[in-house]
Amino acid sequence: MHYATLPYAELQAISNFSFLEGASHPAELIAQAKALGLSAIGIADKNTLAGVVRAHRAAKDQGVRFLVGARLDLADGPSFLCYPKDRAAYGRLSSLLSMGQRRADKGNCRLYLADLFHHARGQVLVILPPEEGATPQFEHILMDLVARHGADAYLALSHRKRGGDARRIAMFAAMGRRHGIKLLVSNDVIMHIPARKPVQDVLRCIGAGVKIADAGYLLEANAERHIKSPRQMAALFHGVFEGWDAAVANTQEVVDKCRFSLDELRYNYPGEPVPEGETPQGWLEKISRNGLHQRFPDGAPEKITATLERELALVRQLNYAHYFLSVHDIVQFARGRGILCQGRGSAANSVICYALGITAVNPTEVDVLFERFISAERDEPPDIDVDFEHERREEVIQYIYARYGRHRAALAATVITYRARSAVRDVGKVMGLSEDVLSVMSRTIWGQWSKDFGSRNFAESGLDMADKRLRQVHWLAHQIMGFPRHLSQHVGGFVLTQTPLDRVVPIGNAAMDGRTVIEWDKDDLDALGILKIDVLALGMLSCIRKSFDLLRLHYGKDLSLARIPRDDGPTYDMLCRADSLGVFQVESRAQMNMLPRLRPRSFYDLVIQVAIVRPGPIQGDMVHPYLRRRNGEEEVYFPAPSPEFGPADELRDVLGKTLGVPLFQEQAMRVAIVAAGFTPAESDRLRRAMATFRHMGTINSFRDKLVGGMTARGYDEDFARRCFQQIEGFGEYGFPESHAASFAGLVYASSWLKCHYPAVFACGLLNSQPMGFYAPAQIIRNAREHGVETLDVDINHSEWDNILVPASRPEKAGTMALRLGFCNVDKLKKLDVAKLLGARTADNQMPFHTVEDLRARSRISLSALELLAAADCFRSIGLDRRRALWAVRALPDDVPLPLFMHAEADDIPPEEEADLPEMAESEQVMLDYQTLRYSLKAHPMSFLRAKLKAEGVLNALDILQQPEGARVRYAGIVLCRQRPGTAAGVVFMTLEDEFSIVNALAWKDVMARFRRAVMSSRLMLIDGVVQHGDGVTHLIADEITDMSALLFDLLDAGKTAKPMRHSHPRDVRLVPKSRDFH
Amino acid sequence: MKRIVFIWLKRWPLNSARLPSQAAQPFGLNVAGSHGLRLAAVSPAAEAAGITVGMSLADARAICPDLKSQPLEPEKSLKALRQLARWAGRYTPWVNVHHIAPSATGEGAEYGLQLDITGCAHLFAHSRGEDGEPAMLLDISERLEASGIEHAIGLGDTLGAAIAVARFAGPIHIIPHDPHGDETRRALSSLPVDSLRLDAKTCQTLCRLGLNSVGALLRLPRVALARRFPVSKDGRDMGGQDMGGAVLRRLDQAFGRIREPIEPIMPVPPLRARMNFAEPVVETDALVLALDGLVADLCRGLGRMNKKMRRMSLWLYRADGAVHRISAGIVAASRDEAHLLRLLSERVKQIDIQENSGDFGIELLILSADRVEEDTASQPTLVQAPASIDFDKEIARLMDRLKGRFHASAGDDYGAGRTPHSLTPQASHRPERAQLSLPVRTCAANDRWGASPGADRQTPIRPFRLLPRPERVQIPDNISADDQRGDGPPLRFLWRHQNVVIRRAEGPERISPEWWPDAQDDARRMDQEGGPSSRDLRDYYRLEAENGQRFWLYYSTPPKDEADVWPPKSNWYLHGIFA
Repeated sequence: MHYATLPYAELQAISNFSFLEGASHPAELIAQAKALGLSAIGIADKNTLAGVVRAHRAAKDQGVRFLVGARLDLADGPSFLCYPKDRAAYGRLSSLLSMGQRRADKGNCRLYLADLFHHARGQVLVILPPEEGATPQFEHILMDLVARHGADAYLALSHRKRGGDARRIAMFAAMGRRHGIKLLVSNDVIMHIPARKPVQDVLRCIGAGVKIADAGYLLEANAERHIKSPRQMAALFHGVFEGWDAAVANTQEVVDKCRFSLDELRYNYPGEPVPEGETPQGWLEKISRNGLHQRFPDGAPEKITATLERELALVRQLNYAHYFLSVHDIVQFARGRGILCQGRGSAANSVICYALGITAVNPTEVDVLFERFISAERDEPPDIDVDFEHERREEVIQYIYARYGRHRAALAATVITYRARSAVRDVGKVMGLSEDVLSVMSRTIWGQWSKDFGSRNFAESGLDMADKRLRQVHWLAHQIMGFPRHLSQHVGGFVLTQTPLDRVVPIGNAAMDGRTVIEWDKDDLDALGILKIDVLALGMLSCIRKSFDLLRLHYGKDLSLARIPRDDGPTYDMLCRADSLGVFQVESRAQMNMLPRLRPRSFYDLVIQVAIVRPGPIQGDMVHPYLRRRNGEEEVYFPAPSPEFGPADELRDVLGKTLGVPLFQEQAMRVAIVAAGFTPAESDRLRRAMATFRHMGTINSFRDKLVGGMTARGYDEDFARRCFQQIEGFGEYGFPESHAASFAGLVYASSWLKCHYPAVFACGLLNSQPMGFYAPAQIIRNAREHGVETLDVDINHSEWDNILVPASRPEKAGTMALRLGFCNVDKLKKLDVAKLLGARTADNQMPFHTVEDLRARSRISLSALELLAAADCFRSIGLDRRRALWAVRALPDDVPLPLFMHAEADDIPPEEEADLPEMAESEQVMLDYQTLRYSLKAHPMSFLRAKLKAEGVLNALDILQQPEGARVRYAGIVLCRQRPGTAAGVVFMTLEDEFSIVNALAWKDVMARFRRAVMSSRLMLIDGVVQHGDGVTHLIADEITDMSALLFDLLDAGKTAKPMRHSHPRDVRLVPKSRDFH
Repeated sequence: MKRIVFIWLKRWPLNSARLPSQAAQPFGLNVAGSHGLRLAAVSPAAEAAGITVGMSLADARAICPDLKSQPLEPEKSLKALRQLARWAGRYTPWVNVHHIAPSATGEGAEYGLQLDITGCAHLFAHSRGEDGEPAMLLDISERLEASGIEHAIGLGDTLGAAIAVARFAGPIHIIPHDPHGDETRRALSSLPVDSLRLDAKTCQTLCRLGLNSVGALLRLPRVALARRFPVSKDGRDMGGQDMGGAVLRRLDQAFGRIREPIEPIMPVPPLRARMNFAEPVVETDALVLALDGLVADLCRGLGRMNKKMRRMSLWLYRADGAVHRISAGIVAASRDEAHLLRLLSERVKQIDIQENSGDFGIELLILSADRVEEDTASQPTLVQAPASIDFDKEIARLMDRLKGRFHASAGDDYGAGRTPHSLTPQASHRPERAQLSLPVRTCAANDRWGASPGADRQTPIRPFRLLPRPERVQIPDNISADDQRGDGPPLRFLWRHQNVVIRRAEGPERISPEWWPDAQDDARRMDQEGGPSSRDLRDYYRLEAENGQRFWLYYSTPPKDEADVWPPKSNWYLHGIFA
């Protein structure tokens, strides 16, 4: 047979899912196999099936025969290629890998020869000759393999042009013949084309942690390990050993044997939640109807009942009852434990979910369009994410593991891929760039999610792109962007099955103790139609639950998310004033700006409020049209196609609720379908393309299609463009209506709490830190502004957490005051506080009356006492922080045993009263900030007010009173600086004084001139112009001065001489460091 | 009575590395902390731009985008500081360096010199009875200034006091001598507690107690202080390393109640002789002449002590601040002027001052007797029986001796080092880059064979002898061009007029060019030396000739950019010969 006609399939190839080894994406291998005319390709990554779904998808798209398999590197033997012949064998391979991975640390796999033989039924096993040449041990294993698995055992031979190939191949061929094992040839592929060699070199270096110049023999000597055509392969082996042509043909024999495809994977739901004797559907219907009855004790509105029945029918049709029951089961568990949770996602805002208590969003308030999310023609699984209190989510996760078992429940993976910044960093290191150059390079990339970077970016930062090394780094970094780096766990996506999950996909250990993770990510699961339930963590739920607990304890009110009074006027009034600090979602500055403009008066307004301040609507320039229409300044009309193409109001259905302006993700998708003639599947692909292929250039074709499709049907081109821009924005941070509705529920709940129980809300919020946009200082201040009495941390009154106590001041009688807890004291350990609290309660709540008393009774450590003194916690025994510290420092190192206490006391010589100077109040305040990050005594600015006033500086309230365009001076402490990537060099700053907050901004040129002052001031003086708009006042800076030295003076009030040193550790935290986002 | 000078070097790492600390360029040296790079030293321009030590480089660049930065090399700056201490030997032999490396946050670094100048200042007095101290400090300051070294100088009765005034009252501050400590008290009272060499945490505690100045501490009862700031005991480490919170101890050191002698970094020679030149000397002959007086001076001193000398050093202080040292051992202890002079002048004559110093001449000579013996020293044993032979050590010694022959004597600054070289392996697939010629340091260099990463992989067979440069071989004309390349090696070739007929062949071993810059630079350098390209793709074959000779031949595919420029007749090269 002439060798040009021999069919050949490459069976030994690894993709880049053999991390830091394979130099090509699975899809690239597939495409190259097709281009070279291979009959099939098998990708066998090292001890993993992580890349197979991607390869499977690519192979389906390209029409290439693809063999699912894995390369098994054994701890006690040679390596094997393992290709399952059928579904059952695939299950065995998967559970074999699970076993190996569960044995080892995250990312590793430990397998032995015995395991392999134990799982060998139905597999084609290809034994690979060891690198070091033939050994007696290898020959033994080979004989064993033939004896046990003869019919499906092969020995692979590759010609890698390493000098002695012919000799080596002939030797192994002879060995094979001797023992009667079938031979096949392979090219041991690690890249799809030879041009990937440098990339492969760099990956190896990253993996080994060496520089390229030192890598030496770690690297391949040549670039031969790429996919070769059947002709090249035949030429390579022609006549090298007897039977070479049969060995080439044997690759086809393996392909013919392995008929398994991932399409055969069938997914089945766990049956646990269904009681004996019930069908899933029947049980779901029963509990849904019961639930609805409980929600509406007086009878549900007819519309709701009808919707429920319609939904149930659809669920029956699509056979999704199990899915809802599984979610319900988890939510039931959480509820039983008192863990607050709320569902969101496409299916969450259904009447079923409301009836089952999965969500608290009342379907009468939001127009539920269940069918839109689960449609019969798109066979797309429903999607429910459930948020839990962030501090208690782990309990839920462990419950799921316990209920379904580790072999049936696992978290989905997230494939961590190289992004611009990480690629530059890793490649740069290998190429021998210094830390400094690396940090300059990676800084030119904004945000680690950056899509791309050009050499222009590098050049801008002063790097010389004529330098060959930098050019290579740039090129290589580009090449490895998008390469998978390792697997990590998904934030909370659980996959649950009835039959063992490890027969579907390998399960391994996560980095976190007690977590197990499958090898596939959510796209892989989607592609195979496998359902996952997202179990997520949300800080605001912790805050709300803690607030509910406080309400129950102190006010006797038993509330839940669903039982909060609806349509509460004062709550909406508060939001319209943008008085939303601490409230879920709408507390950011952008949201606060929007609140007075949107003026929400109903729940659905909140849904829009949440969704509108997002990159999608902003990029699509949809915000202003919506606001104008809402305020009646613009007529509500619906863009229409030319009459010959469709009815003029075809978009009214889609955009009616949002006044003709698309604001939600699914609206944009519907526009693509209705107005641009996309099929639902195409529109879905568009959405996926936005979400997952951000850095690839595929979106341009969609743009042409969408804009072209809309204009062809007579739509305004401008509107079409904006729709596309909006879809682009959604791709990154999509907000579908259902998510917005669930979030709006929490916005309302938190707003209501803040409005009616500010002390409760502040306490709940402080006890759930860190979360949200604001630091404790602002939360406390805001609470005080809402009339909450706040009390300092004190050794005789505080608990670890912040608590509520009856107010002490007469004018506040009957209200609750916020007593700050030890958790606020910097560096103080919980263990020490436990000792203190233990001693306080043990002795019948007897207060501590001296420092010595506290020490003796609690045996608290000296360092803890010193921290308490520094934080001024001894006021109830009449000591300020200075006297307290003096007393604490005088304590002996060891606590005397009680028996000797009095005896010892006599030995300590009485001390003459030391003459310590009184601490100035300004210094007290500054030290509060240093040790607690807030001060209840005063605001630092109040000490500077007289001086500032004399210099014509206004306070924050004055600023608000100034007319538009007034030139003013203002000084305040910098709380936060932001430089949004979208706002071309503009810096937004939030300043604070003892009266209020001022929003300032510096345009690019001001920023350039006063860069230092902008970036480093703690106390900033701004000369600028006042601007009012939409109820928000801005101070536009012309000149900026760094006045931080004034703050230093407050701290150094009593000091005699200034150190000549340029900095001092003590000054590092003068006031809380501003939170900067750049 | 003691008189101690402290020279505080505020920007030493910048000054010592001769980095642009004075230039308008904002510049900083960074250290790698746990949270990225931090600045450990900043130039005045950077400081003016608001950048401080301890800032993260990222924050600093946010303030000042054109800030340049390099990694701090602590060993280098310490080495330079020792060098400076050597220079300070011109003022007193009792010199020590004061060096605290920066913490991971870049802060806390301190650099300085401690000089015990007791009895030395008079050399700077212009007339008898005049106090030489101000003149000496001025001299130090001017010389440092001239070298662009930022400094502040304090002088007092104790090291603690000198440090305090140098850092907090400088640039030049002298506390007059006062055995009762009143002058010290006056000078230190108003200084902040930070001046007492206390750790940051202790300073913070003191300030929180309202005890901001040294004076405030002095006014407190000693008992109260001792009780609250004990020298660290178990379980009560109030921060700091050795001294901990021992405020009292630091106070006592500053006021001389606790002695704190200066440990000289170099052994203080029993005897020194010095010679100042009014004008820097650039002529070697003039130096040799001056030696006469110096040696006589020293021998007179030895005679008075009834000592002989075994080792001596000549220190040459150059006008630009550099210091050179010439050491000479003397086999038989001696104070024979003529002999010593001959020894020294021979060495001095070897120096070409002009070449070594440029326009700077030598302005000061100090001759020190480093090792002296009683006049009646006995002869040491000539031969010692070796207990056991330690090969490594013996070979190392042999190397030292060989190196000595090659004119690089230890401890000497002059003398062009020319050391033996040996082949050392370098991990590379390219045969010509697979070894390196390096100076021999120890025989341990041999361990590098086989130690490179990946070397444990099975390495292909290499010829016994690698030609220094691959040699092109002729393929006989009767073989067509196609067959020249074909699928394998040639059947015969012509090399050095020898007609080789091949009997057996094995291969190919394909070796790709190395693409990264270092390797490419190497390759380019080899290319410049002539011969075939080093950046080609090669297919190597092992060939056996009819006569049994074995060759290592390769076919070269030149890189794209060379293929046209350099059209070869034959692309076959012989690179090595097997035994």
